[in-house]
Amino acid sequence: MAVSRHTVLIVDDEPLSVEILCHQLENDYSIILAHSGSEALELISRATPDIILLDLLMPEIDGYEVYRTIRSMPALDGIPVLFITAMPDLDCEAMGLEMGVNDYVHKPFVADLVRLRIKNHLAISQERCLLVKRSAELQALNATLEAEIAQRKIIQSENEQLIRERDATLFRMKQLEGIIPICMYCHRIRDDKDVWNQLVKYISDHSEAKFSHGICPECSKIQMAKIAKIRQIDVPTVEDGQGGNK
Amino acid sequence: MIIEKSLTEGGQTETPTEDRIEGAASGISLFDEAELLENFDDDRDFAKSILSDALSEIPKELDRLIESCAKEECAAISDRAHTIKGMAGNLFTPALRDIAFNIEKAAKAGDLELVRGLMPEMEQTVQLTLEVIKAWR
Repeated sequence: MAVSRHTVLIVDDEPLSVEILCHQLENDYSIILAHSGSEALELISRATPDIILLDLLMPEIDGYEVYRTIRSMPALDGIPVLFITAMPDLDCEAMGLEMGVNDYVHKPFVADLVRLRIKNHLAISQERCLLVKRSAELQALNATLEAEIAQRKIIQSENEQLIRERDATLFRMKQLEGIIPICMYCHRIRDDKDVWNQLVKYISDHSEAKFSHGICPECSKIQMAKIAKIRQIDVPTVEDGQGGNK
Repeated sequence: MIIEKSLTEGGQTETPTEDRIEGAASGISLFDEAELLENFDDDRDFAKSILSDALSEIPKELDRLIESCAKEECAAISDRAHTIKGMAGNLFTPALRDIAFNIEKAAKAGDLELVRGLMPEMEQTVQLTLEVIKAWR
């Protein structure tokens, strides 16, 4: 089964360097060559390599300029760039690192070191890609959750409003308000279903009021009079042999 | 086998002899064959191929350096010397690398007089290095 190989773009105008790097890497990687900065940028615009080895000293467009352009291209975000430099070149190395270059490969190219640096930076790059991908997934999930929370808040708010309306309705239902039709003779009240209810029942149904039963003084007088009258009629006198009060 | 370049007291370089190749205790190595082969995974054919290319590339770079010196363009001199330094590093030719580095530093400092003073040594070192490479091949 064919294994997909990483692609290394080597940008260098110096033939010996290119030849040596190719020899050191060709067994493990697919190699693309650019002999100038402009050629490199043209190649990059057509196909994205997995890692770039970039010589600094080149005619026309130098390595720094190529690097700046690469870093301004969103499609190449995260692609490791390693500067090729001759030892000792501390100033140049510091400058590159300040610019954010991933690493350096030094001349003379020590095969094992070059391979290890490339391997490590490809691994870091892959981890970074994975992190970016996972971060994007988490952001998407977060956005979904935020939308869900917002939706729930809306629903909760609507529920609260419904509860408030229900309570208000219930409250209103328990209130005696407006014009209530009442029979002028029997004092029963007509409800919204056109049924005539006893006053007590109607009030019980439409309010929180509870009734206890007592007797008012006026009614008490009337009732006592009635009772007394009934006793006068019903209770037989002593004279007629049936007993009773007069 | 390390072939070394001897410097006379006056800084003049002499063509290495068999004695110097085998017995010099001091001096700067012209060509470190062992390092080169080790770095190329003992691939002698590839080493020969690289050295063969070097025989044509180094003189070209030297010509460019001489041209830049003639124009007294310090930046160009520095760049050309830097390139030779890199090539020499890859070929494990330390003497050439060192003189190239010295010229690069002098050019970066804008010291054309020093550059001019170093150029004869550079030309001689190139000549000696190429001879050693030819002999090795």
